[in-house]
Amino acid sequence: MSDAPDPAAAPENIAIRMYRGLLGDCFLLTHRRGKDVYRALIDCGVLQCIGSNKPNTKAALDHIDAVVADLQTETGGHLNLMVATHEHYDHLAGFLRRFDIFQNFTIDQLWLGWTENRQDDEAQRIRDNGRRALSALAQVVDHADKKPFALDADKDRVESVRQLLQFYGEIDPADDGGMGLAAAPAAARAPRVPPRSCSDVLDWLKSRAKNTDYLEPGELVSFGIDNRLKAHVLGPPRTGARLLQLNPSDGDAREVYLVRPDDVNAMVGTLNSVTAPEEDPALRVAGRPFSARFTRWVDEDDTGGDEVSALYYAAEAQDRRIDGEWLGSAELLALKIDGDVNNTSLALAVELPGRQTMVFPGDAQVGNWLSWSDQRYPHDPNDKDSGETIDDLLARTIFYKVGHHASHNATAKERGLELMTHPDLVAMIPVVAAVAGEQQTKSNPDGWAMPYGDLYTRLKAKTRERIIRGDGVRADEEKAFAGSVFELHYSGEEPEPLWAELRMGL
Amino acid sequence: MTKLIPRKGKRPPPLPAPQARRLQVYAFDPSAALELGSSKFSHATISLPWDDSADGTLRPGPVNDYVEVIDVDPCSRQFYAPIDLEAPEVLGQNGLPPTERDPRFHQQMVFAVVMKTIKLFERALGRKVLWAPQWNDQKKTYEMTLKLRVYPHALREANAYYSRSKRALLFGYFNATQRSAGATWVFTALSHDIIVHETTHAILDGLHPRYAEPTSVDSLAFHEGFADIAALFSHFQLEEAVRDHIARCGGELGQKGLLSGLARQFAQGTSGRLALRDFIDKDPKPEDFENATEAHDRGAILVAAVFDAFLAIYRNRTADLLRIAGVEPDSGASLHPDLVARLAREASKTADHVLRMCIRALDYMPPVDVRMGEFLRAIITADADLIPDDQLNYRIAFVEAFRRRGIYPENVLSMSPDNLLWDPPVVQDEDDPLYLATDSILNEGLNLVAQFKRSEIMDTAEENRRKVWYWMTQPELSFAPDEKKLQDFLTAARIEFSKGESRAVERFLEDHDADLTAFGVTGALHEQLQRELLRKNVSHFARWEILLRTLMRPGTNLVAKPGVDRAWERELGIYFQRPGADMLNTIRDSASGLSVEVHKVRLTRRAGPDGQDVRQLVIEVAQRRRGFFDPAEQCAQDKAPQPGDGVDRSKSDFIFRGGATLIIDLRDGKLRYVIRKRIDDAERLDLQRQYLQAPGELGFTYNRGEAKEPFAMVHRI
Repeated sequence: MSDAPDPAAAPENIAIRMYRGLLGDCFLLTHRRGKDVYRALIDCGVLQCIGSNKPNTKAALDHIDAVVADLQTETGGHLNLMVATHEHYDHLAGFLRRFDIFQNFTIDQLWLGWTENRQDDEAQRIRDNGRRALSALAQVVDHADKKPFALDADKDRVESVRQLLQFYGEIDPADDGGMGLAAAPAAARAPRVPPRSCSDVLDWLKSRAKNTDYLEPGELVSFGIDNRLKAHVLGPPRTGARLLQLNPSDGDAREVYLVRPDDVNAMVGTLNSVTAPEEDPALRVAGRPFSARFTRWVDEDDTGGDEVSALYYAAEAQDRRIDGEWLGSAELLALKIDGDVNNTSLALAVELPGRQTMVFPGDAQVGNWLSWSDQRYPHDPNDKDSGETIDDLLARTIFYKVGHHASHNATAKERGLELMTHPDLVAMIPVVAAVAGEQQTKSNPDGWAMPYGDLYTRLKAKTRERIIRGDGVRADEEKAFAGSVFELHYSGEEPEPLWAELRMGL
Repeated sequence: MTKLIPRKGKRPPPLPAPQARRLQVYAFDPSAALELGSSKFSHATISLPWDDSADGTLRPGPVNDYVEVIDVDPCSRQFYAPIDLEAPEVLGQNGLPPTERDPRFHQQMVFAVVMKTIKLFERALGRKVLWAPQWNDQKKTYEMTLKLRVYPHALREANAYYSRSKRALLFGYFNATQRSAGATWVFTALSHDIIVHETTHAILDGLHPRYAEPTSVDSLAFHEGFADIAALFSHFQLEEAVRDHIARCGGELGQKGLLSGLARQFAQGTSGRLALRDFIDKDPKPEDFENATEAHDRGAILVAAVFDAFLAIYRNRTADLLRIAGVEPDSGASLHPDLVARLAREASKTADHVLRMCIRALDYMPPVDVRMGEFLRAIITADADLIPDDQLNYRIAFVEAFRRRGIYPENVLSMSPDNLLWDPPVVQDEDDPLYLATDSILNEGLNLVAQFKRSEIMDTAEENRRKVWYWMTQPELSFAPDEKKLQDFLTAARIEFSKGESRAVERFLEDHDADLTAFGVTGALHEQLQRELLRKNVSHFARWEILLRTLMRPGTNLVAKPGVDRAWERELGIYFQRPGADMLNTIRDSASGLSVEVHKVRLTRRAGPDGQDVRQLVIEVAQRRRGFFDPAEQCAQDKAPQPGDGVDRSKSDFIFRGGATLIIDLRDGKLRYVIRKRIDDAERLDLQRQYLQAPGELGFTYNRGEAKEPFAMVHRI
């Protein structure tokens, strides 16, 4: 079968629609051939608004209503394919906010990464770990709210954990007693409706879709009208060695390593110990490194003749106390979990009939990108050298959905962007810089650097300024796309249209 | 004839003091022990001086004048009982026997290893160790830190770090379920290497507080590399550890494998630095360093280079032993146990020498923005100063080792030890007008008497620092009728103001009332001066500036001499006066010109192996400048301020520092070396700019800006 479009055949085109004004992903892929239409939705989310001093964030959050309404109109409540790349609020919030609309949708096919498969042991292990960590972190924030820490540095740490937790929606308390002994049951739970957390959304999608596929790296799945589109699955990486670093002295710390169960256990243990009510003797003894005969506590107001505790509580040495120091590991855990969820993003390269590829990496961070070289596409266990390498796929990329709103660490350089050498390359960045700038903390007074300066400059160079941004200037974009293989369309004539769409005949 | 007066109630003669206070510790890294399955722990004994007056009294904790070990465990809500090292049970058995189950042993071990490391540094540096000061935002001055805090059970995680803001060492403990030994607790406070490593961070921070600021990829790399060097060679000094390692090797006693195995084990144990395993005792490649862009890798290559030097020196030293035993080097033949014992001792001794060379080098480094190549020059220069005759070719070993790893200093003609020495000041002739004379500060007012009590040492160091600071920043004033009167007045002012007490200032004003009148500070001006100087909560430097401003006022009888000693500016790499109105406006003004800071003034006294006695004064001077990411903005800010030009001079993107370390030989008062970093070095500024804008590996999007705890993140195992 020839790959060149047959002029006598029905007119065929592909359209990628990015919904604007969101710091979040919402992409509608439409494949038309003659009278047939195939619609795929890749994520639908927006960043949460935590804190009252963020007018842009709030506006963007409310904007999702308009987005979902448009999706309803455009698709008529029917999706051929739903792709949920990973479990973050800014990719699934649409379902949480406007479940009333989505609940009537029909979905033929759902694609998720293998890490979402509850029947898969490794996936379950990773999920459990992540869930327990998140639940512990939520408890940390709760505890800090009830009994605030004295030192500023500690307060900042709590804030940064809180900021990172806003990506998950409501977090379930861990259902395993907290000491990390038994894993959660492997059977699928009945989805909680309406969904209150990102994992609820995925559960609901699994129950709603007629068919769910858990994709493995190296897989090739055909979809679209007459299966003319091909999806190469790039990530998340499968090899245990890539994901689970059990022994800290193994391997290179720069590879994709998820949070260790040890670390989560440590956090949970610390949390239990710190939050235990004062008078509970049973809890005081459990999980202690030394036997009961060393148990000794000296209160701040009652040091008596005890020299050492008097030194610790001395008024002039307040800034040298370590009461909240353990929050450092909470902060790190939160960062790591965030990275882990990003790194287990489902990353796809969609190949068009003309063999060009469109890369949708979710929010995969650099470690995940590096793992794309681990396999060939498609992966054939019997023939290690068959198929193409990631370099081949990236060389033919004409569309790149920039990962993680163009933050600095979600686009690999030499093993990523630099390999996208096609002259027709264009990019879409689902970002609103004003919203990113509002996410300020003490340690990050300018908010998040999205789009990240150097990366943005390079993207502009590579795409010859053919970039569509969530907060782009319409006139500039129209000018830039004048000579592109893609036609640029907007939802209407207004300067801030609801969506921007790139269409190309196939 | 003097009458002998009989004593009533005659007291018994005092007992001879013990030679040392011996404390047992673990020689082995407990976490590494778990890997091997067999938890055979090797013990060592650390000997500390019994009663060094500088250490202060030893209280339970243990607490002395250097450290206070506070065993509070917030995660378990415990205050573990402190150990009393003077208790008879403790003294009678060389400290508590090593055990994981008693927290008092943990306190003992941490104390012993921290004190041992401190003593090691003091011996090499030739002076007492002082901790990093803390900036007091209310009083707008730096406050000295008397004691380092040590928390042996601070956190429940696989981490240990030195906290700059708390001036404390925090050790974590964790539960390792994945290890073969089952669910046991692992304490970082029981790892000799980790304790030495963290203590070294604290000591280095006290010596060069600015090194912890990220100005280049080498900033963190140097800190980590140096801490690892201290830990590695301290480890080798534990003869028990070396012998134990040999015993463990069994029949395989090939000479090459003897020590490298131990180094590899070290790298394994301190698993925070995985990069170390890639470089240590592997064949060196000169491209390694150039290609290494990450701090961890660069630090690891530094450690590997020093280790290579160590091996070379060790081979030199043991060559004759092997010849006597009739063994070919690297032949792989098994060695006689006596020979092994001798070799082990040579290894320990060599480790001691190498470590001391590295520590002495710390005084020969610039005060800011350290680079690896400078460390090599510092090692060579420091060693050449102490031991002019390098019979065993130690310096060549170092140069070779660094060269093979690709660590090259900038601006040297060639990599030979002579060329690597730091440059002495350009003008050496005393009669030359450009000669830099140090007599005025040395002869007048610096307290160069050695002190013994720590608090006195700290006070003297601080006073000296302030005096030098005043001396450097005072303008060239002239009092035509009586120049000497003015100089004496200023010298006395320096001495009294450096004490930082308002009473001293008050006394000074009373004593020099007549002088002030003669200078033309009378009436309302005099009263205003008195009022401002004696106000509460004024820092010592603010007082000095008030005095200067008053003296330089147009109404007085003092004349400011035009021009400034540019020779000093050139040597130090900083500016006392702005060279041109449109230049360097990013440097803050002060009462006498531009703002300059004196970091430290320390007296050192080093002894060489052949009786050499080197006495030096080390002075560090620095200056800061506002730095901007955009070169155009930097240019605009450097220009003189014009009203309405819209340039906001209160902000900056980062701080750029320059300055110099001066080494003055106290035997002849001459300035031996000046190691500088120019404040107007545009290339260095640009490098720092580029470095700060490149995202780091620690989630730059989420944690940009000055990291308050630069060491905490790095050390998570």
